[in-house]
Amino acid sequence: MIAVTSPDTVVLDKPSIDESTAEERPWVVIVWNDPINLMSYVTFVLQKLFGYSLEKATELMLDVHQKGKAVVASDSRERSEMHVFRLHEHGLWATLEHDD
Amino acid sequence: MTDRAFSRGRGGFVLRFGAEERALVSRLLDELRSLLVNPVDAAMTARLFPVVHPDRPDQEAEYQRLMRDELITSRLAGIDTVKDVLAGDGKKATFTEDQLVAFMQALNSVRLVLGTMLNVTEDDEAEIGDDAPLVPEYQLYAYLSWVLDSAVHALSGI
Repeated sequence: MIAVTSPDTVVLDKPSIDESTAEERPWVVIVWNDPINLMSYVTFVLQKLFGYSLEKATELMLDVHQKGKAVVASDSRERSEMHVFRLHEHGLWATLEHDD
Repeated sequence: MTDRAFSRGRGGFVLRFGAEERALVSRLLDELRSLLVNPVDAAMTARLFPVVHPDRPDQEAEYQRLMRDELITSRLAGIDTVKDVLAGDGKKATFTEDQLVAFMQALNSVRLVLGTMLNVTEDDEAEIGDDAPLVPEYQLYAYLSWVLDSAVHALSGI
């Protein structure tokens, strides 16, 4: 006899597109405007930590200053947390965001 | 205060401070160390430890559990580095690039605490008159801003 698998033992892969893409979606590092950090210092830190040109770092700094915040990097969770840590070492106000 | 606090020399970045100014910065770093080691007022040091995951309490707790002590350790090591340079022989303190970055981080931490205490806003510079309360503290804050800006210019080569 051929064993017949009963239907309730059949496991179908559930569509998991949402979960996998959420996992792969990068985390974004945000720097927020604050009244204490100097504009020259923020520009310097962005150049030093992310290797941005003076022009790019200045553009991001001005976004922070004028719009209130700017995304300065996007990466894996682990690397993004490292970026945030280094921004905090320099005294910048940085947070992480991620879409689930 | 048009002059710069730092100049770039052959041996590194030279801080053009006399003994009194060096002693002032060293004293401020001692106070910063006390605040880091024994935080008496969390509001005062809030800017030194920003929230990383504002909308996710679980992840925030996990991050702070893993990283907060590391941030304190890093800051204390930076303070030690800077104090060693300030206490060095000779009339002028000379910093390597790494030491100058430690100086900037430590000095900015002091500014973050002081600025939080003073509740500074973007417009404060224009508004503080000589008769305002806490004038010495505002003057100290402005002085530290000038020193930090000078360090940025020295490191940027401008």
